[in-house]
Amino acid sequence: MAKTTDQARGADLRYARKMRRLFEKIEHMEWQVDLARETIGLEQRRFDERRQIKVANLDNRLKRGLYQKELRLASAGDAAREMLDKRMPSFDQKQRLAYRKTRQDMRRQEGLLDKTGRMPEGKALSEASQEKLDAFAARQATEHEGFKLQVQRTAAAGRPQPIQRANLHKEYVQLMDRKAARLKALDQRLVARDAKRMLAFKKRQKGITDKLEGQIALAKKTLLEGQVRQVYQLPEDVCLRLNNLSMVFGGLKAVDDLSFDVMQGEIFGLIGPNGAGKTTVFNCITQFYKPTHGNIFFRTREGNVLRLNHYQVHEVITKGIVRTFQNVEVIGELNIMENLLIAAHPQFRSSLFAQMFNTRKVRQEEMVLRERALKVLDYCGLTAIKDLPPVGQPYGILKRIELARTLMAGASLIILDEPAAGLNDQETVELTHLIRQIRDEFKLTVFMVEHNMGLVMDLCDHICAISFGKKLAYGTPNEIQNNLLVQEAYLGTNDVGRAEAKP
Amino acid sequence: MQNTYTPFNGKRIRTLRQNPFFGFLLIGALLLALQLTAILTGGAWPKSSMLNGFATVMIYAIVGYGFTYLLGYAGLASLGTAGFVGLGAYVTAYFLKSLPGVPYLAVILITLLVSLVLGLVVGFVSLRIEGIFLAIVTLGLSEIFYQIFNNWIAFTNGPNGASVAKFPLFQTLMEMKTLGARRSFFILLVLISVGLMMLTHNLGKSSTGRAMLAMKNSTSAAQAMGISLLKYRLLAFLLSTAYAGFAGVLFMSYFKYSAPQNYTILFSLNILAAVLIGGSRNLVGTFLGCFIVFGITPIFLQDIALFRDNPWIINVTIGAIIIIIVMFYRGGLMQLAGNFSTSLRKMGKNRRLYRYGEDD
Repeated sequence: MAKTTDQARGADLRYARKMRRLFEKIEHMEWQVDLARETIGLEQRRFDERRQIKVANLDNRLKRGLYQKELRLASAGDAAREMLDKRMPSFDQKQRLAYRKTRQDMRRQEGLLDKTGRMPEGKALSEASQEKLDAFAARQATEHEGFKLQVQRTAAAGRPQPIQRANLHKEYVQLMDRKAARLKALDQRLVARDAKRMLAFKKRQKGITDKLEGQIALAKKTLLEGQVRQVYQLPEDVCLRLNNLSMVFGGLKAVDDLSFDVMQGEIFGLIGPNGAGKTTVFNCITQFYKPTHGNIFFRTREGNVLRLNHYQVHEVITKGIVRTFQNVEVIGELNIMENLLIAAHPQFRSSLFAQMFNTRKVRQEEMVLRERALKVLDYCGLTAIKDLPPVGQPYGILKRIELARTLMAGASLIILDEPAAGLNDQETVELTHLIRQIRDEFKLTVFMVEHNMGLVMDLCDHICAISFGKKLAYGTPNEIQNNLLVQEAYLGTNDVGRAEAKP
Repeated sequence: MQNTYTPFNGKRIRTLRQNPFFGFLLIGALLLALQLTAILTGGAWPKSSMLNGFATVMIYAIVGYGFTYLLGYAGLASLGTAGFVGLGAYVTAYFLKSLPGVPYLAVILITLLVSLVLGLVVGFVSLRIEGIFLAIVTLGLSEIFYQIFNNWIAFTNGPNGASVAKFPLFQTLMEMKTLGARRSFFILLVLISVGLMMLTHNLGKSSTGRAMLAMKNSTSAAQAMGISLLKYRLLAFLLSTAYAGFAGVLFMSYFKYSAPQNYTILFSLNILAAVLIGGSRNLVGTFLGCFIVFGITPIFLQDIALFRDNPWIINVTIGAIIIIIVMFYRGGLMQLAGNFSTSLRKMGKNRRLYRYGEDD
């Protein structure tokens, strides 16, 4: 009897694996369709940007050629202003340096300077020297005026005679027309070329989409027929179930026969005194530790129930579970944007060689995912610092980056390990809002460990309290607050308290 | 009407300098210019020994580019590089000598395949450990390879070294009347070198490079984000192996001779030093590092009696450079150059302060 059930179970598992592969194939194809659709808008934008840059470059080049003519044609005042703008700064700079040199020499003669050439506070030049310096400055001022006059005179002298001017103007107008025509021609040519390319691109993407959609429909049909036979069962509204979970390190039972359910779409809190085994539970769920006993079941966004014990650490994120860390683990050598892209790592599906040659597909993937990352960054208020390295950012920002990373992964369950640790009150309030907002907007389930009781009681729908790896209580925040065992675990046994709490 | 004449000095919006490949193209252009000068002057300057020196630098820099994946991206240190370069060289020599009909391209592929398979075996065994232990395991590997090169006479011709005379597919290229074999292969080498720099740069900037960096910075975060440690460690190892094997092929093709003394532990250490000097992730820096470690002696110092008679001077200098870089400039030569320019600027500022006093 036992053997036949084993056989049946084995067959079931094989079947499940087959279905999973099919499902992954569908996921892959859906990603391709997404990519094909999302790139159209981005490609258009890229074309536009490139065109603008090209036109602007040509415009600038042509303008540079017209500079001398414009200078000749400009009115005496304009030309003088332009020439002054160009020549005065260097003249002034030279004068200023000469003045400073004279002053420094005088100071040095009087022995006012220290070794580096600075004059200490409270010292001043003697009257005689100061007078000499003022005279020097006055001389410079007249020189300045003289130079200015000279430049203005040159500008005025450079005005063409009326006949010349008319010719010049004609030439100039011709050149301007030619410039405008060239710019227009370039723009038109580029617009036409881009439109043609865009059309071809759209057609190509449409072809890809159509072909893939047919395949997806077919695969989905197979999947739907197969989905009747789920290997593992979970009630409809349960997202994550821990079933008699135990984790033993040597002789130490870090988690002892722990069972609880996390409902779909709720914020669930796991609390307990230091060393209660909360992080160990997290590590078991995300498969950093393989549980010694017990099962962890998880319902994916699509409704498949998985036994997480089967998977390796790096596969967990692809099933829709992503976590943060107690002591934030951001990648110091990447900037904040790239830190987010790390979370999207399983979504990059192009091959190694494609990446080496930076093929169109790779560029498209990068473009689309960067665009998504930008949205997430915007949502978390990190857009302004997206190109900075995370090293040296305040703790609140680092926590935000980790949170943004969980969003980027597109998971259905996010696991937060002490999100408010090390934050000040203001940051904690902001974080509370953010977590709630995320849950509502992205339809996520949030599972968190937290020491900040205010935050937990405020935020969570259900709470499980554990102590020394054992479950103490499970319930709503109110129930937990009034639970004697929890109070005892946190505050210690206290006869007076117990006497008061007894009805 | 007047304001149509507002003079304007236009500037380009996007310049060549901003291109990420600018440095690579510059290096390639300089090397090509060197070879062109040699062709135009009929070999008077630069001398062929100098060009051979640059070819060595290019070939070993390719090993360095592979090594950047390992050291700069994945954060692993291997001392077995020499073995794989030697493997590439000897397998090429063996196939060209014993199977004269095989086309050159096939030889390259076979060599790459052999080094990849060996790399896979070694990687699977050794990549479960990391840090100093990996270095020691690969050190042992390197010694094994050296002993094989030295003692398996049938395959490697032992201590006398292996040599080949002819290259089938490249025969036409090799015997071009106007250029000559060495010169044409040098040009090909420049193209390959620049191309590989670009490919390496692309991969480093892609999701694979990011995954390796994530793994180097935080293994737990990397795993939680879906990065398989073994896969990416193995990938980095295999890439560096493939680059090393390919460099071996190129070495054999250019110099047509290789002796086991080339592939001792010293060579692995030199590659490590060159990549470290370059800044471990910077490809231009790696090229410069290889130039310092492998190139300066044969190219410039060979002609100076002082250095020719006392080769220890250059070794001591390189050692000192490595110490300085590892202690003070983790970003390598490029960071050093940056710091140098800032300190120059600072010196200028101090000088101005001394001459002209404080500005007010």
